[in-house]
Amino acid sequence: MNKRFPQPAVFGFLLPNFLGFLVFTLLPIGLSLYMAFTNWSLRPQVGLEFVGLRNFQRLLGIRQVAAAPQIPAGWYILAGVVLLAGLVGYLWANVAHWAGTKIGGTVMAAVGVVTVSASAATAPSQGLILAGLIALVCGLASMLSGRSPHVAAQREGNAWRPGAGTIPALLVAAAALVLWRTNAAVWSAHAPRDERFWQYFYNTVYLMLGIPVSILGSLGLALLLSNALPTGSAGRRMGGAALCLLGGGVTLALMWLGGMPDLGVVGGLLWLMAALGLAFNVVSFRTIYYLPTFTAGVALMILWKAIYNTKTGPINVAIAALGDWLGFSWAGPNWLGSTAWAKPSLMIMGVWTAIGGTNMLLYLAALSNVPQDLLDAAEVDGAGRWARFRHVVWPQLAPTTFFISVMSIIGGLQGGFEQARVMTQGGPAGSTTTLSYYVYLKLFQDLDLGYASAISWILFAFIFVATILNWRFGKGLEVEL
Amino acid sequence: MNRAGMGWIGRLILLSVIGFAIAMPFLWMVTGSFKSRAEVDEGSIRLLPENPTADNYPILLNFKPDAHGNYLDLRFGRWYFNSFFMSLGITVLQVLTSAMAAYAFSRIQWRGRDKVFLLYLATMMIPGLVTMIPNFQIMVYLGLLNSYHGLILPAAFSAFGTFLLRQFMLSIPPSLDEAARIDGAGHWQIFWRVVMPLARPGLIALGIITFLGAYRSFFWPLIMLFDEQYYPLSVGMLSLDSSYGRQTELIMAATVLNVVPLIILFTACQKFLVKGLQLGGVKG
Amino acid sequence: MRTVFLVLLLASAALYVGAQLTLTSREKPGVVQLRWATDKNPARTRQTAAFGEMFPGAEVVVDPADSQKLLVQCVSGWGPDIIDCYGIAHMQSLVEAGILLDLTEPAKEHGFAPEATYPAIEECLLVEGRQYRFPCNVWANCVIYNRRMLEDLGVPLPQEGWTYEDLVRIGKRIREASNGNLVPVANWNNVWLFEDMYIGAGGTYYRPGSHGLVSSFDSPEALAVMRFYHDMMHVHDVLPTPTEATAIASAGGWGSGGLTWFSGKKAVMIFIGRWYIVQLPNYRGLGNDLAVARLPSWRGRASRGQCDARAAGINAKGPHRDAAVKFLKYLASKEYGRIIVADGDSLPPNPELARTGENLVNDIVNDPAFHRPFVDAIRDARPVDTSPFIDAGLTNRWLKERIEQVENRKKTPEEAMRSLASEINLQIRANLEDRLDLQRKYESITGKPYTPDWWRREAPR
Repeated sequence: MNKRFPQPAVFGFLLPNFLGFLVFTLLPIGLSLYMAFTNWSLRPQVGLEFVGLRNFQRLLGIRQVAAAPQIPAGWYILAGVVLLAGLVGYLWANVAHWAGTKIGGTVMAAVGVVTVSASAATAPSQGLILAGLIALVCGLASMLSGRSPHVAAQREGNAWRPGAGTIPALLVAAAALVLWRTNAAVWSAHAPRDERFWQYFYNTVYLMLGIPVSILGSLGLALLLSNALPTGSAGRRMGGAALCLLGGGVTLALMWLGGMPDLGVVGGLLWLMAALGLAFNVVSFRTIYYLPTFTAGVALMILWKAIYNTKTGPINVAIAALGDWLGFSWAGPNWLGSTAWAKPSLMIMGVWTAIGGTNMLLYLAALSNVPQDLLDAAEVDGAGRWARFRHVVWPQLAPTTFFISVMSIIGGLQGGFEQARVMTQGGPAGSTTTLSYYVYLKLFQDLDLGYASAISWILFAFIFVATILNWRFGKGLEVEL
Repeated sequence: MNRAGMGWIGRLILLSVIGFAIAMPFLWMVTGSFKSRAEVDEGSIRLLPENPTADNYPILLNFKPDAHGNYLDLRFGRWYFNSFFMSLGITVLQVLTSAMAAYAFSRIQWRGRDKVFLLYLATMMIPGLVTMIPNFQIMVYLGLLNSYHGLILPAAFSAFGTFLLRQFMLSIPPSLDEAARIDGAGHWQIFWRVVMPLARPGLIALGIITFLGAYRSFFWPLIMLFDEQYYPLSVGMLSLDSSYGRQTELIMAATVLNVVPLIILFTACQKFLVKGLQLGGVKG
Repeated sequence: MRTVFLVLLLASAALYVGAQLTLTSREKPGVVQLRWATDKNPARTRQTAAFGEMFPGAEVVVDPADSQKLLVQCVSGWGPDIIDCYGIAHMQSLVEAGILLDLTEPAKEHGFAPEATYPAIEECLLVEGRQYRFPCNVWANCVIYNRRMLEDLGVPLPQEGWTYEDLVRIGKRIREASNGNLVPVANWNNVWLFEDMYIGAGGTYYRPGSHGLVSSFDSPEALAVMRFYHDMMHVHDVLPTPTEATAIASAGGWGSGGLTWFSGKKAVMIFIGRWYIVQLPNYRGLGNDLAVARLPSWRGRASRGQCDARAAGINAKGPHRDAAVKFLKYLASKEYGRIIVADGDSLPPNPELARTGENLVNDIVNDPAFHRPFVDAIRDARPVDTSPFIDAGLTNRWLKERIEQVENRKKTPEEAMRSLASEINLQIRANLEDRLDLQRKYESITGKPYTPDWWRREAPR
């Protein structure tokens, strides 16, 4: 390789981009790092000072508000660390197919069940029940994961024997037990210094729960769209499309005459979809599904805010009408106005927006690259549809899935700003404020740039950790193939 | 699958139902934009307006006064122009500079090349939020706040674009370069005559992604602009939401106006986007 | 390929030039143009026109900028010339950020000192004794109720000197008589409602005598008022629950949600200022059904609520400060006051125009008995108090959050108020620790030297 000192040509080509990179990316990163350690504020009276870790202490610290309990806080923190280590180890063990993972899965499922029932019985907390359900699902997934053809049969048998794979789950169980027992005492004696930070972090993570749903949905849609519909010759297609349009017209007319023009329009829309599908095949569906993505943004959010209106929005109106028709008086939930429903509302909107979006296109591209001969060979071997998908298609999609999940995590942790700003202003009692909206509030209302920068760097730390974990996890998947 | 049969009709039905679910809010939006305020506020289940009115669009565009007799005085046309202009500017600059930088990173050997590129990659993981705040301060310091330059310039340079185009360019065989060099071409000519035409799918894909992203961008224009005249559509539409009294029917009309050009644009460019993504691939 | 890019670049450049050229700067030669950051109320047209007549050579243009960004806007040099502050908390934030001009001297010279307006709101215009704004309108709440609806339902009307228990009784009767369909009290702004109740109970934000160093939100009055608010909503069903309230609030606009329900005859009573009648022309005949009563009182106390003003201040960094002073002089004038009275936009800044109910009669409501309670209310009302050691906007945000938590039953009223007080105290402590200028202020106000454990000296509750 001929490594010469950069020629003038290099500078010429690189300069505009690099200059921009320097001024608008590198310099701000450095500046932001510096800001996070100062008390930088837009208020003129506050003189700029280097304050070291003060912002981070205020953000993440815990202070004592009451008499110290018998168990020092140190043990509590240790238990938290052990819990985290256990969770990470659990993921790792499952991916690397250590021995004993299925016993570990049983333990994890048990932990999940106990958490859910204990929380429901004593002081139901949405977060704890959620955590318990996730543990249960993870445990079941471990226990029920089938035989992968790439794993030696011997290792598969090992999964049910005690081994290194049980340790992480046991760690998790032990830590959960310690935390639960000390819960009451320690919680009431200590409080986080910035309670809101943790609440908003919880909001951010909660809102990310919709991401797997939308990724799976995108995959499903891609699978549905990957093969063209065998509609036959152009004549048959157009004929079929015309029939559908006719059907739509008839429905519309019937409903109109029957006094329910709206049902007619709704039915007509369905027929129209079918007609488009017949005429233009999968391309039309791809376009329609992509609609929300590229019109996403403020316009759609304002639209959804109107959709979620408790009195005049179509969802609640439909629920009430349905109830009327059946003889009940139903009222739809208070979507954006109740602390329980605000986040699920945003998640539903998020899934609707993203399900047919770029992820679906990426999957479509990847699906088209799956070698047909592999599929044919599997079919000859007698593999059914599901087996073909699991053992041939899914591994081929692994790089795409990995890419999508990394981008989704990065996006999800930074997201929620637009929804908070446009739809809920942070939501009833701060329930839809995410970390990015918190940064905005700190910047614009409190003028506290140093603190806001500290928040964004902590966010970066989370993203970094999540990406590393994802990378390891993804690598594990690939290693096995 | 070689089972020809009626199974595909089931698939068609399923796809149609999903398409319906996704298109339904848009339908509601379009029908709502033809309703009068009284009807919208009433909140009945009727999709189609009882007394359809085509007034909402002229009211929005300031050709007619609204129900109270006041002109809305929203600079809708200007916001449209701003969105389009800003997106165009950002796209052109970004594609051009990214292509040039990608060329430098892929077709020319120079010392430290890979290290600098690694730096680019590393910064891609930093969340945009981190750089927003100091970027804002820099803008204040340079006096670029509340101006078009401030809107366009920071977004005109992208590590992502450089990365994407470099991947594309790596797949172009270097033998073509050498052939051109033998004919006496310098880097600039090679760039324009050889590399760029072959990288066209990538350029188009990047262009579309950048244009859409810029058109929809909200956070940066929101914090950077104070004067209504500079607002892109995304920020301008906020004032519809908060001016005295919610005017849902106007919001519907505005959303339709916001959405329709993008639909047209996208339908036209759709093929390129998919092909570009396919060729660029997600080779990890 | 090269041509494509060239064409696109040229097109962009042309658009850029076009965009820059068509930027309208509404400057006219010889006329100083003042940007007034206020909401886009249709009445502004009349108000600005009258100013133009009084002071030719200056013109006021309404700038409905985003109030959330106002602070940053001004600090980065882009601010408007005249800034509307919607309350004392807003003013304090702006003064803290160094945005508002000290008006004490010009006010005395041009006649818009606090003496030119109501004594009750004097504190609302001052920060540490210096004046920073002058009212555009002044408000003190009363209860407007739909007398016709109450009569139709057979529910007794509010009487002079009625108490909060009477309010609950009337509310319950309304629910019974209407089978739960009507909302007794339209809760269109929960923070203001709470503040009215709290001040009526004699509450203050900061402990009296503590110079704003200790929060008073954990006082017995605060706990009792929050508990009563909670009970009004969840026990007596007099206030709409969050589910009902979202439907009210989602109608959008500045507080128009609760107003729409009241105007739409779905709610019977509302705690609001005189500026409500601006809505009346939209609802024909509604004005004749309405009547006004003073705010209910707590047992053993007189009726009292809060007062404040939407007041205008001047951007200290703006280029047209001298011309802006003229605008404030205009606000103190009788011409402006008459427009306010005629429009029904709450009370005029000039108290001469609001001495009796008869003074406030206008085309919208010409019954003096309607306007009289507002005159009485502003006489007895008191503004909320602030502290120099913590940003009032922040405490308001936290208060709103706590109220919403109580509404959504996330916290008990007592927990909410106690945690609010301790959070405020902690923040005051942190602010003092961080900022030297606040420490100096502490020393000059209390006369004691600042030490990091100053708070232990304050009497613990």
